[in-house]
Amino acid sequence: MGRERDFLDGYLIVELKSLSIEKFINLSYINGIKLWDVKRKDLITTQFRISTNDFKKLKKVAKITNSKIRIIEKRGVVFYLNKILRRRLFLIGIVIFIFILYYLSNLIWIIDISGNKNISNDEIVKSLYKNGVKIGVKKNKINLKQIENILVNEINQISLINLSIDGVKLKVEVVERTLPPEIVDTESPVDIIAKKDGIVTKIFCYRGTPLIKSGEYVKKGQILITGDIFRTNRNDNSKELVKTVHSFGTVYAKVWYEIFEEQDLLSIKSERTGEYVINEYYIINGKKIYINKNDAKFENYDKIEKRTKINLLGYNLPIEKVEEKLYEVKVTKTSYSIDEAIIIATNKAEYEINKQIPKDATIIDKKYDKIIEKNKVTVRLLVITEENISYEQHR
Amino acid sequence: MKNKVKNKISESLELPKEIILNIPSIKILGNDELQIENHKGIVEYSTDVVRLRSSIGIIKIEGENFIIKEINPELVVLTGKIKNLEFIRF
Repeated sequence: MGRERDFLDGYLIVELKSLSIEKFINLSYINGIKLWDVKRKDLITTQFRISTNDFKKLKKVAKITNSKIRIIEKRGVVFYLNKILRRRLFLIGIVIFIFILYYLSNLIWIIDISGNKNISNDEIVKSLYKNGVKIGVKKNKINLKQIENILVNEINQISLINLSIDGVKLKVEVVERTLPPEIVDTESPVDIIAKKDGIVTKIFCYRGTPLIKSGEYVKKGQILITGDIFRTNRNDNSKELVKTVHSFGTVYAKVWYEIFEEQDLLSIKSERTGEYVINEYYIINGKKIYINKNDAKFENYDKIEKRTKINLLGYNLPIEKVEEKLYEVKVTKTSYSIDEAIIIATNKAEYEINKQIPKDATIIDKKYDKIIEKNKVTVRLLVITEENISYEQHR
Repeated sequence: MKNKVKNKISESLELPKEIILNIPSIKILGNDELQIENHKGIVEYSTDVVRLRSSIGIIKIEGENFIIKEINPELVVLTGKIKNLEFIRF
């Protein structure tokens, strides 16, 4: 019965206090006031609903029937709108929120690269960055076709690239070019030489003449496999050079690594705490004139002096400006037991030696030697590895 | 006499009786809604008893939790648990 319209126009919930409720109801409907949901609460009070426009007429009726009316609640779109309009800041907040959301959705947040096997993502991202595409760039500022062309030219290995924008995501689909395999120059004469000192354990010679035997000690730079190929004369055992080739082969050898690490039992560490004091003074004829003098209250400190000669119109004046900076230093003394010192020294040694050993080497043996002195401990770490020591050298 | 003639006319012309005779038409939906057309005002209204004036006398409705859903010169709609309906002649 038109409830939707009532809701749109707005309606009131009214409480009526009257001794003659029936009279009130009869009078109001006769006067064309629409009442609904009339509910009697007790002897004198009644609650009902009424459209907002009829409230003035209702007042007259109330006067005639000697009753009191009171609005309990206002309902309807009109009142809601009023409420919202009153909370203007809230409304502004909503608008700003929507605006920010809209603005942020216009930016690129994710760059999704797919299809690359040999090209690293970093490389693509870097060249995108060079052309102005990065996270946080506005979508409509990107000219996709142009950037595609630039990228294909810039990165050699790309044969085809497809950029597309999906929401806040920039999709980069890459098709790689398969490059022709590198041609190994097998014609030029090449020797294989030793990278390191060691005792040869295994020799794999595919082409060329090996000059060493297993178990032999080789030095760094020594030729292991030569590209010269000889023919031995059966008659007098003399050797005759036939030709020189590109020699191939790998030689494995036992290699030693040795390292010494010391650890004092009493270690003194000094660190700057970050606090400092600045002194400034001039030296004129050997006398100090302070501009800025602060007494250093630090127990230990580093002193850094900066001297500048004062120049006037190209002439050196006998005045020097000195700037002193005193950094506070905190000295910490720690004493270790012998066992602790050994552990520290060993850890240090291991760390240092791991830097030297190549990754493909296999460790055969590890030896620790400890030398304990009065106030320090020395650890000697010896590592024996078996590794490839061959290295191709062009003649 | 007048009513009898009107009654006959409405019967023969198949016109709705409540309009021609000006008598109330009462429609009860289950036991919780009641619509009365052609009423002449409320005599008594409380949660348990509602009395309405009409051309044929007073209509008394007894029940519980009565709410006047709607009221205008033509129609009264009552909801609540209806127990009893009584016609009281003048």
